Amino acid sequence: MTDHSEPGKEQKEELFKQFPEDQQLQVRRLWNAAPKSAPRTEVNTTEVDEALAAVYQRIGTSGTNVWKWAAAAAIILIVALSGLLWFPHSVEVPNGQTATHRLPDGSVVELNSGTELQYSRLYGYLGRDIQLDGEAFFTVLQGEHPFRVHTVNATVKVTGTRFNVRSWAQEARPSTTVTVSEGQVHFFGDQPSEYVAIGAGQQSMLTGSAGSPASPRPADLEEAIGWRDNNLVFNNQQLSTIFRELERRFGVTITLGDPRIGNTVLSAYYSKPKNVERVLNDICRVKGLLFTPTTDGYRIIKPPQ
Amino acid sequence: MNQPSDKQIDAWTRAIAESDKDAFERLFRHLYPRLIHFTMRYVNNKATAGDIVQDAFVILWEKRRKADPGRSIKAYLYRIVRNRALNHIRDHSSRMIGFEAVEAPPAETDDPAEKLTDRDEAGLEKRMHAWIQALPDRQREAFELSRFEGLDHEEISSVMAISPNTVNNHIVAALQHLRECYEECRQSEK
Repeated sequence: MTDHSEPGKEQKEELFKQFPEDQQLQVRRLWNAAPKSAPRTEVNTTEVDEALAAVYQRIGTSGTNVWKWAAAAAIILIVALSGLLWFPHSVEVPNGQTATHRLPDGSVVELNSGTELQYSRLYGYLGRDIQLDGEAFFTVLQGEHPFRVHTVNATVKVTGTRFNVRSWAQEARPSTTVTVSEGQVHFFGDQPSEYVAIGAGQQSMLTGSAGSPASPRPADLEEAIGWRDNNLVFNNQQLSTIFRELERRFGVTITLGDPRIGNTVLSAYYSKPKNVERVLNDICRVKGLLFTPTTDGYRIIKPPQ
Repeated sequence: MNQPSDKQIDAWTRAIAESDKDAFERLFRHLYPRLIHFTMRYVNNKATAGDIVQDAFVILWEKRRKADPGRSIKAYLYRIVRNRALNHIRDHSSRMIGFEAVEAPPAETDDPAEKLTDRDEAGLEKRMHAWIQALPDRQREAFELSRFEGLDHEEISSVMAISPNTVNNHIVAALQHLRECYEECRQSEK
């Protein structure tokens, strides 16, 4: 396989014509002799067969249509998967119920009534980030990534601990209260540098998202996390807050005949109350109010003077 | 070996673009030994050459639908192989110098049978090999692609990423070089 391998005859002649006439014969001779000078690398049929088999293995030996379909299927799968990844995993607890949810890394979240929790499908791979609207108690295991709870106005960052986050987006002013029962957490708003460290038995609150959260102070753990045992604990809370708590806990709607009713403050403790009417009865007696049943709950009114 | 015509290769090229494995296999059987031989000029190691040439065919198959039917499939394969071979030399030249060093030209011999005379074709061929090896790299590549691999100027221009005009100039310069060596040799023999 030597002599066939020449460029087009015309091109070859063109090459020779570029030499003076008296050199052309010599050049032609050198041209012809050149291939015989090159040592050939012999490649036998077996080597070609083996090489072909290796190439077939890499390009796939099945019919090409299969590849076309496989490629299409792969694209559909990728689109579907990225769609799944795009939408976070979401846990919603209906009013009147509480729930315990185990996260992919084994950390446990106890969710108070009406709470919504969201986290990425990639939780544990890229980080451990939780979006919280409501109230939850976290038991966080040590992990590779820091565990962060994001609320409407603040972030709580921990490594391994037990703590409670309360932050209802529906409240008039966004606020987040963090209570730690074990370990330590970092609590901050807009600025990760302006955080406070909250230790075991301490509590801090951030209203709005600018600035630093309040300095930690000793917490009333029963008040902060009594909900986990289905207790109701109110310590100098506004009635509007208390009623929203009751709405979530018992799955009822409570309306106020006069919005000013919500501004009065009350402290109360109930151990595992079964019946919202008993609680309402007490509140109304203490505060001089009346309540009447509605189709989906109760209406609180001031008695006529 | 039965040598397929350029027309035959063009037909295979079109069939390969339609995912015809039969045509792919024919082209492979035709070009694989030649490409190995060609690659060996750069890497001088048969296993490495095998990897490089097989890579080129895998790439050809993967890109078969984007292939421009007007372009030479031969030039396409030679270009991939040449680029990979040059990359291989670049990446391995320090570590594997022993393996990859270009084969040394045969030593000058005192054997009178190999003294060059006008009639002594065997002697001429031996010397020519050394002269070709001694050519500047680009001249040698253009000359070898033309004379040994049978590519036309357009194909060489695509393989080496230079203009067809430059291809011509390289080949002419190479022939000029070889002719001077030959003259010099003939003078010293006299």
